[in-house]
Amino acid sequence: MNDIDKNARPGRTELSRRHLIKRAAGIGLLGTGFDRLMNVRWIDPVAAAAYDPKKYAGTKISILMVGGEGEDRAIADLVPELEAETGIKLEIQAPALGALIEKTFQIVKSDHSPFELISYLGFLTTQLVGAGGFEQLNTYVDSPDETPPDWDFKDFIPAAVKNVGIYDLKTHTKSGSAIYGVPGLESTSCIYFYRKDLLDAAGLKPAQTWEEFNSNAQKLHKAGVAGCSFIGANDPSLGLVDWFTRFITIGGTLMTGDPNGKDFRPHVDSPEGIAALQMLIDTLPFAPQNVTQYGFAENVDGFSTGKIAQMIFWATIAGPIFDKEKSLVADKTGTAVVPAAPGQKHRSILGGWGVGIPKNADPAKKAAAWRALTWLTSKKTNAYEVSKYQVSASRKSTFEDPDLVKRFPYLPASAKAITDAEVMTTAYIPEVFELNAALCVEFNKALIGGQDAKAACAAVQTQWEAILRKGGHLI
Amino acid sequence: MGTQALAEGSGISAGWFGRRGAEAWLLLGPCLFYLATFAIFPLVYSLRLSFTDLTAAVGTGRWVGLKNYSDLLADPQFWNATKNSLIMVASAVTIQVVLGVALAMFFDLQLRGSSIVRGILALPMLITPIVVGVMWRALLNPDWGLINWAIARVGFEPPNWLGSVEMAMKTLVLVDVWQWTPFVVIIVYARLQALPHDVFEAAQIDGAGRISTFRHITLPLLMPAILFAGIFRAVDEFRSFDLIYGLTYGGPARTTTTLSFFSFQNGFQFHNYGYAAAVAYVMLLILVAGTTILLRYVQLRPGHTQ
Amino acid sequence: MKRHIGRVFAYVILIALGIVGVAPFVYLAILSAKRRIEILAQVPPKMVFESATIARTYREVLHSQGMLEFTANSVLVVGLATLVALVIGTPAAYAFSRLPFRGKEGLGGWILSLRFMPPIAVAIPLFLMMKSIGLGDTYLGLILPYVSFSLPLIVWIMVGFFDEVPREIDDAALVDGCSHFGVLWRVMLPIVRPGLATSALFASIFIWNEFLVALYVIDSRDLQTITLGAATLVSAQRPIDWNIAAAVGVVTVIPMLIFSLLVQRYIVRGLTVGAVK
Repeated sequence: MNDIDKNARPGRTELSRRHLIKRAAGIGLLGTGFDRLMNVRWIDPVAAAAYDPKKYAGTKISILMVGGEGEDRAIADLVPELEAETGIKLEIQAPALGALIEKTFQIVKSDHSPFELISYLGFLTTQLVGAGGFEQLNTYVDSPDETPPDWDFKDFIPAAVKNVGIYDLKTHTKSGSAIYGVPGLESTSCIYFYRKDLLDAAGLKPAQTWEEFNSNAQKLHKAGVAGCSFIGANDPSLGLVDWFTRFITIGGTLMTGDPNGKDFRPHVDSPEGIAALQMLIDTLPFAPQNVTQYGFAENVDGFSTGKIAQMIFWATIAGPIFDKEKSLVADKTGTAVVPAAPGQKHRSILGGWGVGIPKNADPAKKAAAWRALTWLTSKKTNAYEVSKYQVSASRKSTFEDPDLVKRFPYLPASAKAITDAEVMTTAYIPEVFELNAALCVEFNKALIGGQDAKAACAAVQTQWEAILRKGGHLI
Repeated sequence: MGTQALAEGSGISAGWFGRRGAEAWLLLGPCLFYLATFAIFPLVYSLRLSFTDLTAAVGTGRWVGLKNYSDLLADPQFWNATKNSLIMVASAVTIQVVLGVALAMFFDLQLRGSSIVRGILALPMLITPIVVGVMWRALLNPDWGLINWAIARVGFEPPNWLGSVEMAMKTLVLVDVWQWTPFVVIIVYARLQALPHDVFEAAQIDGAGRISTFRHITLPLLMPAILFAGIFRAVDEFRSFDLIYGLTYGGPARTTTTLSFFSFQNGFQFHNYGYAAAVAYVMLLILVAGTTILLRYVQLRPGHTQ
Repeated sequence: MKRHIGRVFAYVILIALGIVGVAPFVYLAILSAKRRIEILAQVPPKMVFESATIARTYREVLHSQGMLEFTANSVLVVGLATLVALVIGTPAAYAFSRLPFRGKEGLGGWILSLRFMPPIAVAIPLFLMMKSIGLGDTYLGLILPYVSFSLPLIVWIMVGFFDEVPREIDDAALVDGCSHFGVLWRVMLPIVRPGLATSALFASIFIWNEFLVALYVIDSRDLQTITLGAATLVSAQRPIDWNIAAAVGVVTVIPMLIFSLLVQRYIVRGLTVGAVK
């Protein structure tokens, strides 16, 4: 990434830098890190002079991104500023999640993309980037002409970069140094939400292990307030959040083998798998009465009206929960990383988005698209997203900004969660949605009493093996 | 007499359309041409797709012949979906037709304010499916929805509308009846208004009672409209997945996964486009078979078949 | 006395029907006027409204979310598509009703069966068709497929209405030297106006709510229809802003409501052809 870019035009910058380095070598300063210092873009004064913000003034760039989650509003607010600074006109198309995914697949397969920028889920990196749908970005990242000097690629949380941005098209793994996407406009994982006031009143501490979580739930459960809650309905986050988190933090491994090979084997019916589901079943008495109908929305609604004492959930909802306009418990909520069994790392599932340039976009506009991309993922935009709309940021600096942390106390927990988060390995194959859907149906059935945990996990295991075999991932 | 001969004459004379052949083509032609253009390509495309294993990842899909179809027939989820489709269509359409005819007769009483109420009842058909979903999720919300609150106030235990295996399908049928019965009402009511009065006058003079009139005169005369509405509703019901998408998402435990939702889920969510196309074609075959059988026994246009 | 009770009972039923039909909408309207936290916390909703809240919600929906724009788009697309479908379909229905030709029953069945394909199987090919002739992301790219969706329904409804008109009326005009077209235009159309209204109403209802084809064809935000715009409301993995969703619901219903009320009069006012005798 920091190599001298051979493809860059031999402009003033290149020659000057090489010139300086040669001189430095001559003075014997190489090996003291001087050359590395000169390669760090953001303090390179020579590079700073080469970047012309208005280089692509007048270009119209269209971005396809998810709507209804706050990021689109944030970007829409800042569009005039983007135009003022760079002259680029940005047009936003922000359909809902399902619609976005459909459209993205259609566009990537066609021969021309009407959008110069597309935002894609980390879950779909393998299927979109891996299918060769996106432009490799290394030349842009390394070019001081194209990238603003203060953009700072290293500021992005490494786990997020690895999740959405890095791909090796030869080995089909998320490794190597080829960059195809930039984390944005949201990176997130799950954290533990709890009612400080209720825990304090009962003399309890925020849970660090699942035993503590469950016993807290039992002790706090009373009329009007449930000890804990989770996704009990047939909703994707039942699998992704509540089961998966418990599963990995008690030592479970979901898949073994190579996603690109023939031995990609699931272990849903492992002891940890059954135990994780059983944990949910056992906490049913301490959850809201209608918890098996609770999906994403209902849990957020329940917590913000004060009816739930603890839950683990996507950090993205922290915004509404801490917003006095939208929540009755804004100043009574505490956040921390999710509980884990002793000896296990506290971690949950890694979610988030990346932004990239589709390969089949108009070639003449790609450089301008990159310009817009850097602006959309800049430190300033990140901070604005968080500040105004409580979107979960993608940059370390944003999470560590003292002003933001003061206003949004959940930021540190959220940052740690993302850094340690684990990718759900089924995301490496196209059947990921089908697999998760099967899981949620069977687990929901167990929660409503239609089968026990062992039978549910066995059913899921059978179905997963069939799906994997059909997809050629398993013999 | 002369006109009769005229009508018959045009059938016997030259060509497909008879004497007015050219005119007939002009009347019918644009419509047929338009429909053919827009129908053929999707049908052919979907058929071809159903013979491939196209998923989002693979470019155009590899030819797998009848494999999708054989997988379908072996897939218990497919049979579950078929069963659910039949249950939902049969119960929803039956209720809608019966209720629709009853309401049409009711409006025929021409009480004051009927037209306003008829207008109001047409509202449910007009809303975007997403909004219907949101509206009912709000009404049926277990924590703060109005319906559960009302039921609890009266002293009963509100059922688990959308989350229990027993209730989910019934709730869907209920919402569907609320939304689409007006369709039947409007069609049957319009037909009712167009019925010739002399038949009814004659019946009244003969002393026939209300119920007898209905059974022997009104109902037979309304049959074409009822059948039309019923068939249309059945076909649309079979194909629709909007309500399922908004309210239950096929659950719980796949009890509300109908064929249409199954096809949608495979295509839209899992991106198994080939498989989804195969399901769609099976649906097409079921509908074609169903309507062929039905039309054999039932005349949609009595006295007008040629 | 018995008649009185019967009458009162009938009125009770009428009112009950009105309530059942309208209550969900009233509820929706009430929800749209409250703040989200009030919706969650106040059961049942208190009938106290703040005009500031209402203004904020609706301004958000109409402007920031662009519902006003999307409504205009929907009206345009649906209006034109229905109109074209009526123009093409009504003559065809007349031909079906009046003219004898081979294969009539089969053709009629075929036209009806065009509604048999589930939307997911039809949306992508239609989109590809439109794109290949350069109509991707245009109003026309939506209108053309929508006409094909409306035609079967319009033809079938109009056939029913044409069948009701006695042949004598046709023949009288034919004998006078009218062509079939003339009969259709001058004699038939005025009589079957309620049919036109009915079929226009239903055809437009179905395409008003169409989602999948619009999703694939439309790329730009300015061209989005109401169903596309409303789809962002219930995104899978986020909390639902009930008040905003309710406001969108109210806004999206109003145009169709107006259309429906206007059209109902035509449907009802229909001359009973039998009475003409």
